[in-house]
Amino acid sequence: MSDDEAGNSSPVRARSESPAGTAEQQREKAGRKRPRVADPDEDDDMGDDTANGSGAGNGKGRADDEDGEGDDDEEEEDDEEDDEEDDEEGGDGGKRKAKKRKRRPKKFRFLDVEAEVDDEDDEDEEADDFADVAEFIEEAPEEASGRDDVAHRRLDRSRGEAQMESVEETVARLKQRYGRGQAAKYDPDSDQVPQRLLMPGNGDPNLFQVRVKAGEEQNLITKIFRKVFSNQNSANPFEIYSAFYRNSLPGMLFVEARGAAPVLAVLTGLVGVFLSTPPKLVPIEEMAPLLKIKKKDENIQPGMWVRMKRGKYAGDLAQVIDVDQITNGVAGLKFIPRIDLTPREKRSRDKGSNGKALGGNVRPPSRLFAYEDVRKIYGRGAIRQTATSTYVWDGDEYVDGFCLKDLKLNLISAEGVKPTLEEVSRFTGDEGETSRIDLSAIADANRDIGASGLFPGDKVEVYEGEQSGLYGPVVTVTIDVIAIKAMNGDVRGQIIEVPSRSVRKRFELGEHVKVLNGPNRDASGMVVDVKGDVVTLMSDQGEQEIKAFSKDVRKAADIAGGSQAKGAFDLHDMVMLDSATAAVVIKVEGAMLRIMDQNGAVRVVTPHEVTARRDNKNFAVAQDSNGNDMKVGDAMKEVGGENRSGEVLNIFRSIFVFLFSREILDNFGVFVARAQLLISVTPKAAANDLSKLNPMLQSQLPYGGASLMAPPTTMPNKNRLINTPVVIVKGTQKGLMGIIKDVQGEKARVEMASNNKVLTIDLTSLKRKDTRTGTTYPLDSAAAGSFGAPRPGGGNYDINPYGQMAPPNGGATPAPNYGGRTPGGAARFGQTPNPYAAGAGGFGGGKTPNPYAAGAGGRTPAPGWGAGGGKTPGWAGAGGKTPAPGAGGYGGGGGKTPAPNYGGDGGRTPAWAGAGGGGGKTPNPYALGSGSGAGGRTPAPGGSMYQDPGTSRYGNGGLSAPTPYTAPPTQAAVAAQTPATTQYSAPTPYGAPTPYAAPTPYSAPTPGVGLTAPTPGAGAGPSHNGAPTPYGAPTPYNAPSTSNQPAAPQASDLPWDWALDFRNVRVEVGPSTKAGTRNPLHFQRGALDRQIFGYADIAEGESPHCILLSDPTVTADIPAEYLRPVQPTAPGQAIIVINGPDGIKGQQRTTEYLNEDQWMMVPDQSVGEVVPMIVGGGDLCRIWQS
Amino acid sequence: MAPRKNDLRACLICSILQDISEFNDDGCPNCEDVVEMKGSLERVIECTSVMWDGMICVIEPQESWVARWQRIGSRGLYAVRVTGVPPQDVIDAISSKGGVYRSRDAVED
Repeated sequence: MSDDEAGNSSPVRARSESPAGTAEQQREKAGRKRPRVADPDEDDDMGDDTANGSGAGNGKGRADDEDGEGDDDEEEEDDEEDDEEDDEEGGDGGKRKAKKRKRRPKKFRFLDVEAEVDDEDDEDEEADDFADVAEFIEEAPEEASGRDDVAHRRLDRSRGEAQMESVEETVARLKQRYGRGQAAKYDPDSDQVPQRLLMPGNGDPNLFQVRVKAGEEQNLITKIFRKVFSNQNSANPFEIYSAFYRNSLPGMLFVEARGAAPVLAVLTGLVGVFLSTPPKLVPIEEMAPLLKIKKKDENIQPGMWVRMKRGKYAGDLAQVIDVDQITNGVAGLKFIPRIDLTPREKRSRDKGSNGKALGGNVRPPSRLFAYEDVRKIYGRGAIRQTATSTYVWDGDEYVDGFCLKDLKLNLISAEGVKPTLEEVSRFTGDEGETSRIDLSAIADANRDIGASGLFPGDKVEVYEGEQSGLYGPVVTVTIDVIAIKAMNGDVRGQIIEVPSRSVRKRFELGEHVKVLNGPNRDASGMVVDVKGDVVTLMSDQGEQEIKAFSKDVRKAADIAGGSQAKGAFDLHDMVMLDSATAAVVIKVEGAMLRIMDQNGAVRVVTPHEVTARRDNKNFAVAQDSNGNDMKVGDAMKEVGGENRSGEVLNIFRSIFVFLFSREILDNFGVFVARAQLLISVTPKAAANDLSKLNPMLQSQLPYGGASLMAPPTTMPNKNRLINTPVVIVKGTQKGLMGIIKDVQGEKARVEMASNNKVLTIDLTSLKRKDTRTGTTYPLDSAAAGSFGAPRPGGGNYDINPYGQMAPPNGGATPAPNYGGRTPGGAARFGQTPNPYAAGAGGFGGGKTPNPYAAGAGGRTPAPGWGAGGGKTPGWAGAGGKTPAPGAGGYGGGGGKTPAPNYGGDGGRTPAWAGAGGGGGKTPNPYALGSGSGAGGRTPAPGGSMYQDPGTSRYGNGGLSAPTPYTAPPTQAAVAAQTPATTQYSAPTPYGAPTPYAAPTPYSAPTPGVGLTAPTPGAGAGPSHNGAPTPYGAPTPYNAPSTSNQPAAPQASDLPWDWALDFRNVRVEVGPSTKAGTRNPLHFQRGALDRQIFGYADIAEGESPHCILLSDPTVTADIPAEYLRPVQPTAPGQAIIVINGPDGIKGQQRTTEYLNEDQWMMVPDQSVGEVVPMIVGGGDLCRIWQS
Repeated sequence: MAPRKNDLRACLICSILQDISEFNDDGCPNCEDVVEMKGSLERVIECTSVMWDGMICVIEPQESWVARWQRIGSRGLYAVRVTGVPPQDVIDAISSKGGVYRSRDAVED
């Protein structure tokens, strides 16, 4: 038995070998390291010891006591360690342990050892005394020679037991015993028992969970330890057995005791313990797990990427250079420093005292250490340069610009680091120096995902370990091990298991892959380079190179298409570049968006550069050029420009419309247009105007002027009224001024100028107010309002023949109004201004090919005409004929007037006037509408030829016009009045519904025009076809013209100079049609007669420059009087109407069907024409080059 | 990492917690004969670890189940877990004494 051995051997040694001093030292040490045990049996022992020791101590001197204490001390430790053995012996461990050296010396001092032996004899049945005996024997081995039988027996027994131990054990034990003085004995036995046998049982103390302040756990444990220790000798020692905490269970302590009372007792008074919640008993089955919890270790290895947790480098990436994990708990890190190169007041100098407070709130940018820079700021002395081009600054070492520093492990985090390529590339920097940092290290950091990202079938290669170089498809995947089917090497064809972290995905150059993760997620492309773990691919979308970790890449056949929804933005989503700029995604390229902004500019942005616009597709509305609403999804068409059509994707600010067309290749079919330049291609556009839906009405217009119904009483375009300054003329609000904000039916919502309220007021109670002059006009006379001078009240409508239609149109059409509006509109549309609308001044410069298109056409409330007029490209003549250029509006109006003959008539009149070269004194009624324009122009031509490229011969007409109408537009009204009356007084055909019937003498002077101006009424025949027009006069000339015109007489009502109004038409040369011409009857004596020419341009004077169709080299300048139109001969020919009412003339169509000399045209879908136009062949001319 | 005030180190064999100078001056109170680190700082650093988790104050090693479970035989402050592996000679010394080296870090059932 060990104790016995100890008793037999060590005391001898101790006595003989250990000097007292050594023993004392030992004791001290032991006392410090091994605090006394507070033994519950202490009291009993005390008694025993006292009793037992009384004799034992007798023979011992004081000096002996010292030694004895030392020995006892050692002995006690043995006792504790050999506790189990003691138990086996049946000895009472507690009692034996109870021997306390502090007491014992007292005993020994007075007791004889012999007596102790005697005592033992007396009590030898107490097995527990056995140890004591041994000790006493140790104390005085000499005396033991006289031991009795009992002692011998005991000795024998213990020896026998000792022999039962293995030899090695004995040796070890002996050795330990001998080495005892120098070292604490390692007790191997405690490690022998398997852990499972140590599970708690019912007899074990309980664990109590106590709530404490988080972070104070360790403090409290030590406090408890000290408290228990200091109380162990008190009357009420704390009866707890142990206490512990776990890092993973913050805010908790666990105290082991046999009841809650001792726990409370020991914890009472400790700061940081929350005794408000009573100690909670831990169930027995949960006790072991409490101690088994193991935090997942962060195994930090060199080369790993970590992030720093605190300080100014918080979040920064660092690479582990070396690790001293176990021993010092630090890791050598390499990272990019953040050196404050703009220190305030030498802040850096305070760093020593201030510690980490240096950074303040501003974190210096992360950049490589640059000696020069730092020296400039901090001075040369601050930096120490070492041999190998490393610098020491501020206590840190810098190598190659990086900072090398040892950081405590608790300041760094190795979990979930996932360095991005960008970050790593900063580390790698320029290739040379830093390429040593192999990218596999990065991949290592990301590897855990890599393994789980492997799927059977993926091709992988082994890049480290024994199987390095092996590659093949993955067969199975487990957490750490994957099986691959080797494709090369000795094991080809076999299935090999390799650690998953040793493999990486393998890609061949040219493979098509897709990126699964990372910033370029969802990009796809072709592999162009593979370097280690980094795959470079050429993107399918943007033709740029993308680098990605191979673990993030998969082989994929699909191309990340532009049509797929990607992330936050979908194709055709509207995004905002800034608060004023909207754009539409026209393509999604991986992570990038290709967008087109409202100005049509295309660029590529990343999603974070734009903000999503809230989905307003359901509400976005804009007005098209007809004033109709368009919404997202509508099919629209441009009215100008490229005439593109498309579906509305989105509308921004009711101005910018994004459209998409599959037929447009540019910009993936997306384009931007202004809302005002669009027109609906669906019949919906017509829905706003019932008159347009009425085929009867429409068909009537060109032909049956006489039967025309009164113009529909359409409401004035209410939108026109919006923002009109008004004054209230009736009701309680009378006299107040305001601005119309909205029109609803017959009521308007008026924002009062006085009190900022919005009131709803009848339109009839409102009058337009000219804010400058203060004059008021009726609302409906919006046009009039624009006149510089007001008409004399509304009454003027009554005397104006147009008055009857004026009211309906008044709001919209009247020329003056246009004068005001159209230019504005034109400006808005970005189209050329309407010269006519602009007034007199516009004549000279107004080269717009279709002045009315934008203005009158688009706006006129008589859409039928308006549209017609508006569509007349090159045939400004419609208006041009109408003497009133203002007629843009008026022409439309005229066109629709119940007396269409006016239109025609008027249209011709000036022409004629011009032809006649008359002074242009014609009291052209239309001058009214035209204001300055028409009047000015009418007389102006005076036979001079019209160079207007706009095809309107009036283009320059106004220039020399000696008429009063040349007055600036602002005076138009004044001028207008005059003709208004004039026209009435004129003995002209106004009242005559059949003016055409009248054999209007061609030479009949128009009233007021002394010259040869034909009567205005003459040509106006609603059926211009057969109408014997004034031009009929020269009919004789027509007769000889045996052209291929089937209906020569019909053609006869063509003015002789018709050709001057057109170009790009086919003409046939024939006898002059000009009445009274002074030229020869035949051009060049008929040499070119009946030849067909293309008429390109006007060369000089009145002579169109013609090119012989059959031989383009033959050209001739042929005076217009010799030219006659080439009529269509077959369906499908492009023609232009060269004669007819204003709305008709100038129209281009394609012939479709011939019926008795009447051609039916293909309806023009673009203007929503439903009823085909029917025109007599004589009024048609084939277009030369369509 | 445990927030530790004074960088206590844990013996890799018995998990007792002391600071480094205590280990250096006195060795490990439990297993000095196998680790033999007294007087050698290098040895101390080898055989002890700063990576430990949880602290136990063992007061009654004989009675305490916690001490039994943790195989702690004497009073003192111990760590619940210690990360690290002692030098091979220590492991050899343990087995030469008939013991079994049990990692203070492993999770057993």
